[in-house]
Amino acid sequence: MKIVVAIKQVGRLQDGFRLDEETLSIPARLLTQRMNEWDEYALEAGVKLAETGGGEVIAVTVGPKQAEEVLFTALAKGAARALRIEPDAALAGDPLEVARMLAAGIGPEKPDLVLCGVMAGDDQAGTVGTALAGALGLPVSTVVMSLAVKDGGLEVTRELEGGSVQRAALPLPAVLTIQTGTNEPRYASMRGIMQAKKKELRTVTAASLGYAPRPAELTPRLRKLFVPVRTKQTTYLSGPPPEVATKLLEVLKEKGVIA
Amino acid sequence: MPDPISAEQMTRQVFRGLSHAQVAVFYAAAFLTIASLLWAVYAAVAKYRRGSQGQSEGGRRPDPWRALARVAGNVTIGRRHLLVGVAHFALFWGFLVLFAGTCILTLETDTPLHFWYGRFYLWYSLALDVLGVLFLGGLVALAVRRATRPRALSEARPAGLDAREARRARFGAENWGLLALLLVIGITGYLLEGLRLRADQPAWERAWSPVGWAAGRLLSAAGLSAAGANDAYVGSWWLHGVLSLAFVALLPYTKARHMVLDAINLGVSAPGAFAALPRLKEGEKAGYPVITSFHWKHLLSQDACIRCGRCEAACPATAAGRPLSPKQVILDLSEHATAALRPGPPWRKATGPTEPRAVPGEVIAEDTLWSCTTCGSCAETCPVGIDHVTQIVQMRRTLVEDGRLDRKVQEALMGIFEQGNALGEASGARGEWTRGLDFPVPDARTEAVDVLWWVGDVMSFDRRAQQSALALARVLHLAGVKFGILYDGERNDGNDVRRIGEEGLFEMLATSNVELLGACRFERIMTADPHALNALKNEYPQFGGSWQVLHHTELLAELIEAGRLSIAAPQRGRVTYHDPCHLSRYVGVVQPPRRVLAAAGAELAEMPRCGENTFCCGAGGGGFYREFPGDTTRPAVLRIHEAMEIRPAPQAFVVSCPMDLVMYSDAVKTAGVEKQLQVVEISELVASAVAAGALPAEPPPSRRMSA
Repeated sequence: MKIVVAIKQVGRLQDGFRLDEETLSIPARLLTQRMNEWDEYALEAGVKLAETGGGEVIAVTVGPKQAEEVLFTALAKGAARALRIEPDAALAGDPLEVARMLAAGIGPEKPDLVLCGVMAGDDQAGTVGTALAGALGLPVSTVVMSLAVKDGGLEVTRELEGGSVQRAALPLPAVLTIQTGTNEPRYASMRGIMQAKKKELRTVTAASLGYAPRPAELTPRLRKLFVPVRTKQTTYLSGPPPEVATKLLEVLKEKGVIA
Repeated sequence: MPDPISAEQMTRQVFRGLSHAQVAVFYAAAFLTIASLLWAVYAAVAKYRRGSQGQSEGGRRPDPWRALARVAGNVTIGRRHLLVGVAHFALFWGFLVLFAGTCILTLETDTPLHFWYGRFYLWYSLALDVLGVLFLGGLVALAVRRATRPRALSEARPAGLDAREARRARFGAENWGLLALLLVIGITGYLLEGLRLRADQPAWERAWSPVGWAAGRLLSAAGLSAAGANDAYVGSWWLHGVLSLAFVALLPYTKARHMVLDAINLGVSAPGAFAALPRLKEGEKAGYPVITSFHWKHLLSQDACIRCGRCEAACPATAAGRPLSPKQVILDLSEHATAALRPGPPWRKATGPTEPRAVPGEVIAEDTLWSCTTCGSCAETCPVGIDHVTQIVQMRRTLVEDGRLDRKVQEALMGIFEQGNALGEASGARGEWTRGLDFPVPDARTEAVDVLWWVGDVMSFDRRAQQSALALARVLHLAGVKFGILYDGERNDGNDVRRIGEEGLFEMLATSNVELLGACRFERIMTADPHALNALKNEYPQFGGSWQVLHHTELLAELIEAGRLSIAAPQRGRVTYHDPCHLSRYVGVVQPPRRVLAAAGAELAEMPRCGENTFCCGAGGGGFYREFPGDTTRPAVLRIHEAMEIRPAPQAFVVSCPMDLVMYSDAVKTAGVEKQLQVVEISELVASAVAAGALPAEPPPSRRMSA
């Protein structure tokens, strides 16, 4: 079984961090880079599956040279090889485009299973997994707590809101987004990481994979980055639902949110 | 009265009353016994040869001559168990002399030598006669002790480990069987002598065989005639002889082997070896993945276990109800090794373990290995020189390489890798605590200092421990010590990283710290963190870093005794002092903190477990970074209970380790005694004692001693 795990390197905030409003970013020296927590669980699920059922795990990331650190970690934790896709810099923060870049790299591998984390701890968009499934034309199951391969297909349990759990079956190949706390991610020892440097790590640019960037006018731009000021402006609406809906509509119009 | 006899006649017949055929049978039995013994020696040597070679320890080396003295004096047995030591000493020398007597007899009968008569014979008789009493006395004393069922001698396995009832039953039978066997051998020895003396009544022997003579008198008084004694002799001889041979034959297959193995083990092992762990071998799977990865000395030490249970009684993990008993770890390993490394015939070369089970995780459960705080109490108290700690850390190394460890410990390790500290703080903030001082602390990276203070993670970042750092800084400043710190150049010392089993990260830390220290100018290094102290002093030499390294209690004692600090306000409270395990057991600093307390005016009330026999707070070996939700009572809380039992009760619980400060500040709350017992770092007590207006008016709040 060929399993691809998509991994993101995310920055973790240190004490006393601040936003740089000119560059619309957080200064890099105030961040420590680490593997996205959700992806750790996705990786563990993939490695476990390969260990018990046979097969290989390929770790893929879209990111700068520094992101190779998480690939070495993934290789130390049991991935067989790794691929880094150097992104089109302007689009590196756009989850839909990241998904398309990933798809360009993952598609030719013809994987049986693609695993992602539910979301990334930095932007928390939770978009890449589903978008990747769309770009690859594969079925997707999100917020997966457990998975098993059965009769050539997948049986998964999904976490729903309010403590409900859904059991679902889907055919292979497929894309899953894995929830945290669903397994026990292994540790990558220093020696393991050193030895992992002997494994294959390929670097390609997104463009070389045939990825064509979305037209600039369709690309969302980050316009402002700020720490929201905490204010108390809560208004409670009560009454029967149709009445509340009407009141809400009025408030939204009044605040200029909708025309 | 018999005629005076010549020296040649002063002897006895060796195979008295036995026919040639009987003697031949005895020799055949003796040869079989010796063959069995030789096979066991061969099997043992073959087994240990399949262990790994090279260094088993990373620093301290064995000292065979010192070990010989300790064996001869039964020193390690008598330590903290004087009566057991005395009984064993009697048994030990009694057995040794009786055994030597038997060997001398062999020289007389089976070699052309002829010396066993006259004066030699008389002294020989006297020596064996008297030492036999010691032998029996020691045996009886130890049997009585066993009969009172002391907890340490229990063969029960702690809850959480598989029961292994069959083994327990076998051990029980073995314990009593060997005692009984030796008792019967000793008693039949005297019976034989008594029968012979009753039959022959050689008056010249009376003074030289007092016990045997008394036995003869007793038999006579019981109505046994000389002829009757003569008739009973041969039967009794066979009983004594067969049982003696049986004991020799059983020796290698029962715990009686400790008579040989323990002397060897004490000779090849270094006391306190665990303070400097061995480095990893390049290109091999880390640690002890399978039984053949174990160092031959460790394989030998497992077989040396005599099941005295002292390690288990001392172990903080066992006391906290964790699934770890150091004794059972060693016994499980010994049992596994014996089964897996059973040798084939000598002409076939053995390869690999016959049973390739993974040792960490299968033979020894992961939870067992992670329960250990690496405090070293087991190895320190072991009378036969077993190093449990190094073996446990070696097995952890394998688990770490396989990525199998607690999530919180992983988090701490990643924090150390990324930020140089395990507390999740930014590396740049390491020196921030010095802002609480009204004088600058020199940066030892750029300025030459006398004392380079290695602050350590916990004192640098923990809010409570920072207060003790401030107190220490003020005291040093007052004493005019030119000291400096490394600010954000300092990274975690790696002592606990290494004991978690993350050797690769330890090597990285040690290398970078040694490099940094090598570029600084200083006379001595001082640290208040015993864990860092051990790394700096005992382990960094493996990475080329050798300096004079002091614990702050050593420096404080020195400053007070040199008159550089005067005690303006003696702290006349009653205190108890907790020895940090890394300070007393790893580095051997026991008296300096006591001298400091005495100089500061405090009245020291010791806990039962103190000095090298101290009890661990539970923070060692990575315990500081994780929870043990299964603990019945946490080790730190057990220790506070111990302190609360002192009468009259102490008002303060003095520590000299930042981890202790954190652990016990928490434990007094759990125990509900934070009002009665203050947890104080020794620098804080000294700061109060030297105060008298000399110190800034902002001593750490609520930490001063009440008089």
